[in-house]
Amino acid sequence: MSQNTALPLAIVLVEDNPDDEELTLAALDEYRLRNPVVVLRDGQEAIDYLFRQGTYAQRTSAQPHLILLDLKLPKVDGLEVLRMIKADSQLRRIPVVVLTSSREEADVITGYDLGANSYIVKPIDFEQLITTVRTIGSYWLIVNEHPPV
Amino acid sequence: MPTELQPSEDASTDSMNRYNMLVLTLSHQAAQLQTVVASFPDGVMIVDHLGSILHMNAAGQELLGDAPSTHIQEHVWRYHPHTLAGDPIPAEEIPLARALRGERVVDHEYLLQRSDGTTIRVNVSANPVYDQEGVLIGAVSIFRDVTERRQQEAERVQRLRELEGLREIAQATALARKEPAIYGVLVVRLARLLQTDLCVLLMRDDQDDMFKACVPAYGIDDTAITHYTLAFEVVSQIPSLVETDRPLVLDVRDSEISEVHGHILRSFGVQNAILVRLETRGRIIGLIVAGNKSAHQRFTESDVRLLQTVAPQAALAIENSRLYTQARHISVEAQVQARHLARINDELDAFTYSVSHDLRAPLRAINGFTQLLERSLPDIPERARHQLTRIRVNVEKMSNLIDALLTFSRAGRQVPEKASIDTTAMMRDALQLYAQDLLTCQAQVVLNDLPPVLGDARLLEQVFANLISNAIRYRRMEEPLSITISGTQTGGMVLLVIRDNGSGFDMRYHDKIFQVFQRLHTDESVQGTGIGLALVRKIVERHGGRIWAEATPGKGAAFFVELPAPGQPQENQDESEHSIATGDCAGGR
Repeated sequence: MSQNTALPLAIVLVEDNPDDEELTLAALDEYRLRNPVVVLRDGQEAIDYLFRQGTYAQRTSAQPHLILLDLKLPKVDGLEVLRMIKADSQLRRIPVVVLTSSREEADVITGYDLGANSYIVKPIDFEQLITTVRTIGSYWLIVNEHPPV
Repeated sequence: MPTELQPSEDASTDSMNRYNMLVLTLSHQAAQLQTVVASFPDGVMIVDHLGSILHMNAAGQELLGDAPSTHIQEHVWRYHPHTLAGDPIPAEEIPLARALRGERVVDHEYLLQRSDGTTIRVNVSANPVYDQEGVLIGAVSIFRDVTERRQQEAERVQRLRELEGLREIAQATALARKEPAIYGVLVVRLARLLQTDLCVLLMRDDQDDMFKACVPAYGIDDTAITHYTLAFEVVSQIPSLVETDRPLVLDVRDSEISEVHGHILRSFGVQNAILVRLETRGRIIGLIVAGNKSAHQRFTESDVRLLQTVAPQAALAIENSRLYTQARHISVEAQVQARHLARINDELDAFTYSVSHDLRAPLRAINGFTQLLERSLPDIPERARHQLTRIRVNVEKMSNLIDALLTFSRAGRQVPEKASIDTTAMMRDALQLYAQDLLTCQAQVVLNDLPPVLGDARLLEQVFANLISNAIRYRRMEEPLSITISGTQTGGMVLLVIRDNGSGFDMRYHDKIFQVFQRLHTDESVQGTGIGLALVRKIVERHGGRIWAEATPGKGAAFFVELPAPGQPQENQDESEHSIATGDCAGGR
């Protein structure tokens, strides 16, 4: 069970597609997971936010407890973002769940090689998306002992 | 010779008789000798110590063709003995004269001119004659006509030289790979053999139907080569050159020179010429032309024969060289094509990947928002709910289609892995996948033992699953489904048969059912993307096999799948390919 109940557990969702974003948030909403969700729309924004640089140089908020990462991102590719996160001594503790529509074996392998904690393929069916998101949330935010950040 | 002496009054009868006996014996012996000498097959000439010709036998007279001379000097004056080179031999050097000086001459050969103008070659031996006291009293010579024999010998030597020359040409042209190298060898050797100062190959240009001189040529400068051409229409006016393989001989000294012949001689600036066609597979590809620009000997029948033999060899060598070049071009082109195909394949891979990816995103959106819509409107009328459901069903269909297309595309480009497959076990697994459906339609399945096949497990799984699924899908409702699976091996191939008693199909559409998206039933009645059999065929063909079907509408269908069997032949093939490669390297050294 989570250590720190004072602060809600923050989720970062890196997703460029507005429809996918809306559906994912709706699914998260369904679960009534009232955790703050920060949506970042491309790879560069994700890096700037997590590494507190560029437009987010002045960010003081805590680092997220879970990162949902799409792979096909503009500017900087999702796998590159993953590589950078896992290369950083602080950030690499944060669980990264790759949430993408690609089922290509090459991507799955590379994802795990770079240290992804989980690899989930976005289902077409919305009901399934809800179930998946519920499972992800439940596992990583409640069951799993999240690392201190 | 006197046969009798007047008797002397003082001589005794005895000595007279003895003398008479001597004379008789001598004259008898002389007559004998004369007969012998007369019968000699070779000419015999006897001279005294002063050079007067004492005797010429019948054979000698016949050889010289005239009555004998009286003295060596006269003999020399009449018959002009001269050396083979043409230098006259003075009287004191002829064998008899040398014999008179005490020499023994053996096999001295020189030429004599008979009074009828013919020149003969004689072989002469001569010896001095000594009396009993050792005094030189004369000389005798034996001579024979060796003209014909020497001529034959000369011809034989010539022929040997020709053969040697032909052999050299054959060898050299066989080794030469490129056409100019072949030309080079030919013109030099032919010029030498034919003793001409010009020899050139004219190759036919298909574009403008001209015979054009090629470099290198013998006796023609490379820079001047373009001036030497002959139009095909000119050449075609000489049937003996075009229609036969016999070389054509031209000479300015010929009494009749046709316009065409004269034109050819002038075009090459020669006094005489010998030409022959180069022909392969019924087509004239060129000409060999050799000739002399100035004073020359006429071309002989032996020259004609030589060129007649060389021409087909040359034509063959040139033909081979051209085929070799062509083959190299084709090989290079094939490599270019292969690289091109590889690139296209990669592009297709990338394309398929991004297309399927990008197509799925909107599907997710459509599905998701439709469902959100449904959830947000609790009191939706039935009709509206139905319509929303239709949207979701179609989205699912499209999703399946995309997946199937991706799989189809990928399967077509995959090189199947080769392993020995337990076909019976795999078929059993495929049946297991559909166990529930088979139970539902009370299917009766007979699975006979199947021979193993060589192939890719993952791909063949799809094939078997697909065929079984089809059998289930296209069953007849009136009867319980019956499926029989059997297989046999013949030689290196295995034939599997999946037979059912379903609804079958019209054989007219046999080819159509294996095509993508071609379905014989309307959309709704039967589930399926319409890709199945196309995919199956693709996989089977990638394995080097075949698939076909036989069916009767209303009775059932049988699908025949032919796949390679595992075992020696395949492995050996790989091995032998390997050894060919290493053999080549060794040979290349």
